[in-house]
Amino acid sequence: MLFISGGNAYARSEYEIKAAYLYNFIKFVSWKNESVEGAGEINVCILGKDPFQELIDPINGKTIQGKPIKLFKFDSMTVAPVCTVIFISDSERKEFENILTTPALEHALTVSDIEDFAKNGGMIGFVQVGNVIRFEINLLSARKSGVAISSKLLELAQEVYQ
Amino acid sequence: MLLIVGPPTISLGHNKKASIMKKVLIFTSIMSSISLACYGADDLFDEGLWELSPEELGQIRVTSIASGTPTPLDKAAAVATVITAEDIEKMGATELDDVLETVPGLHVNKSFQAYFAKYTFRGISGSTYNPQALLLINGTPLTTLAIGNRYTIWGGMPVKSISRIEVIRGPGSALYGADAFAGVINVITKTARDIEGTQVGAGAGSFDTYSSWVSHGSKSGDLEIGVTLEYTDTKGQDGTIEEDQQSAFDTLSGLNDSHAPGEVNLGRQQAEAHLDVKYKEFNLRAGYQGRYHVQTGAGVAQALDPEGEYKSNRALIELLHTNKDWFKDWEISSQISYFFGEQDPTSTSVIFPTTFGGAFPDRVLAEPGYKEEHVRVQVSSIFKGFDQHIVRAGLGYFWGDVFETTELKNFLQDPDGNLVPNPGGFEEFADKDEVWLPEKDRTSHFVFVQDEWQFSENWLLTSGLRYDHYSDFGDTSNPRVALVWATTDTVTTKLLYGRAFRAPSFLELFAISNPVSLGNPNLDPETIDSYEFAVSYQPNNDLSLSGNIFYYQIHDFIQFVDNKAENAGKRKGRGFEIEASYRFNESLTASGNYAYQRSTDEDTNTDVGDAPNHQIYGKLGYDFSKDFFLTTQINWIGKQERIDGDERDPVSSYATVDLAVKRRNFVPGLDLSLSIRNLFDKDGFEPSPGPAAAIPGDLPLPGRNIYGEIAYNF
Repeated sequence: MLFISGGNAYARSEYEIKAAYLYNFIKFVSWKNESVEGAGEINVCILGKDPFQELIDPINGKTIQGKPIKLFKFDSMTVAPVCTVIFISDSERKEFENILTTPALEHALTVSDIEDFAKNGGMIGFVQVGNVIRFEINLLSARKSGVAISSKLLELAQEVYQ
Repeated sequence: MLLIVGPPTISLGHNKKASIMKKVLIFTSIMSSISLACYGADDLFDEGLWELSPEELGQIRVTSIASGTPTPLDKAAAVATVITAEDIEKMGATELDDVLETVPGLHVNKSFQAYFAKYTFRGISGSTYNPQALLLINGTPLTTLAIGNRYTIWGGMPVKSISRIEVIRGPGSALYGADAFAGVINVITKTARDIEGTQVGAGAGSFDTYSSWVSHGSKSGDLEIGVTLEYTDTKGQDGTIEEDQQSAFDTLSGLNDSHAPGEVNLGRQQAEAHLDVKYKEFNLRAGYQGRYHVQTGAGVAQALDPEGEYKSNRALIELLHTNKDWFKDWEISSQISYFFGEQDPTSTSVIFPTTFGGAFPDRVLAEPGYKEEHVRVQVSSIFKGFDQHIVRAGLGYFWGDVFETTELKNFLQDPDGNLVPNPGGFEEFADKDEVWLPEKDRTSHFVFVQDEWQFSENWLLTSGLRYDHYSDFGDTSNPRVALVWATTDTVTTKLLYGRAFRAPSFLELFAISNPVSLGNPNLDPETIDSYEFAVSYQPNNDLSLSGNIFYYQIHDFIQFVDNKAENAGKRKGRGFEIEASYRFNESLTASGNYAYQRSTDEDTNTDVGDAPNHQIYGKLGYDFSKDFFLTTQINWIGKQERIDGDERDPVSSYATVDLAVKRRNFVPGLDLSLSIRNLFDKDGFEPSPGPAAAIPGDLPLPGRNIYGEIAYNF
């Protein structure tokens, strides 16, 4: 039985799918904060033990709405640049609620696959539903940080926390 | 014990067991060489996943059955198939076995005893109880210690509780241990995350089939609860058996005691309940399968018996705990489970509906039963502290007990296996030598390690080894290696090797009641070495092609030689499987597969038989809207050769066409569905046992049947 309704693309691993999601999310999000919206580039940050390895690298240099994406990987928020988007690795599981309060992430879109990430204050959390990878959205957290998430993405979310 | 022991051992002097073990050695090797017409464009689509929409990304299927790590299907470290609840719903299937039949290289044969399913992967047939296929529910085996099947009174499994089914063809002992031999089927039940709110439904169909179910999923705070309850009552299909074992006796006696020609007896009731509770790091699962008033199919000893009925109760409770914080980079999962299963007669089986000239005034009667308990304790860990490696290791302990093996019967067996009247009439033989199986227990423990090594961007090497020690037969070590190469963005190539073992059942080890099929406590496990080469090609979102070729060798295949179980058989198998799916447009999709296998007994160099050499499956789905689906499928099963020594013509090929229509939200919240199976009412048969066939005309499959369902979502 191999009938696969709809998208049936090739992927190397779970994290290739998540990397592609991450890139996609940026397309469906806008920032109310003028300094973010007015910045010349989009800083995509990977915090903690990098599960993507080189799979995320092609995102570096891609452009969205004319702005180039710059990829940063680091282990600690103390050395973090201002992130437009941040993926918080599962290695930061115990610390993520503190991490979310750091000033560098004031207007950042926060994404992670830490369990119950969206439920506990993150904006977009990956979840595995059956045998596909989906995501949950915390609209309240997004609104607080001035991150507007398009209705298209909200429709696709497995769960939306208001 | 007749229910448990295969038909060749039932003999009445004139009907001597044929000697099937005298083999002639002739050797020719036919190794199929296949070129898969699916190599093509190199980096035409190197944008790959980046160009997909979030909607499309959400439809890429991942499976963890091959290595434990969620991996897209084409990159899995095994030849794997995933079928979702939605697929099942759309195809209109009501039984697990109907769904499994769509998997390439897997054919669901039927036993004459209550028509229990024999999952025949890649031609690996030949044991009465099909112990070479491993069926798991949420990762826990259902295999009985007593005989190695999933209870003769399996009674089917309804599908409403199923979230998805993952299947690997080929061996899996390096991860799953015993019996992951020919293939592994893991049925994953629904959790709160799969069930939104409450659904109630009811259905009715041919053969006086009535069913109802309720499912409920809820979350509050950290607590998630999912529960599904199902109940089905059916008289079962009504195919006709023209001649049975009693017909042969009647020919000799001149009497007319047989119920043949007559309908198979497949009435049964199913109760199925699954509960999943999650709280933080804990997960509690409980499952119950009750099967009541299950009739005996084509009879316990291949003589139709409208009277005999059995029940089977199976209950499983599991507690799982997962922790990621105890040690840096470690994820540690612990699991403890308790299983109870039983099978008991509720109405006496009439083994043969004759008095044999007055020798058995009440006819030949039996009431066999048994109970089992299993306890499993397992700890496994995932370590992600090395770059490019995911290392898994674990250990576990198993204790299993077969108890209350009972048997009321009015016959004994003489040294030639012939039935003779029991001097005491209809008597209980529990705890005596004459009972079908002595009470026994088994313990085993295992340790395994597996490494997934991404040694370059496009290469993943998965290697694993599992060591098992059994209290009865000793040690076994089973390695596997899987090399997966993302050849291009659209092509994946895999090379797989695995070894697996099948633990002998207690019947094969310890049975002493039947002098012509004695157990052998010195048996070794059966082993298989399997080699596979697989390619998949997915040039875009709409087209997917994949294929594999395989070759395997089986050693120590357990057969009865000189009235005793021995590791006597050697087999070789080879074949290939091809799958394709194509989406024509938003509404219309097509998919299909073709499977070929040829498995030979190395002693005789004949086909092992009782399995189709060719199978074709095709499906066409049309979505009128997001709530309105029409699906049609065709399933063609090629002819099935006979086992060595069986002079009958092969079982004829057959094809069935099914049609299903589903309308969600007919009025808001109300779903309707209707399915017609075997639309053109074609005859189909599954092989009855040989070589001396008691049922010469084989086992009939259902004719055209219809089933409708209505469901309401709160």
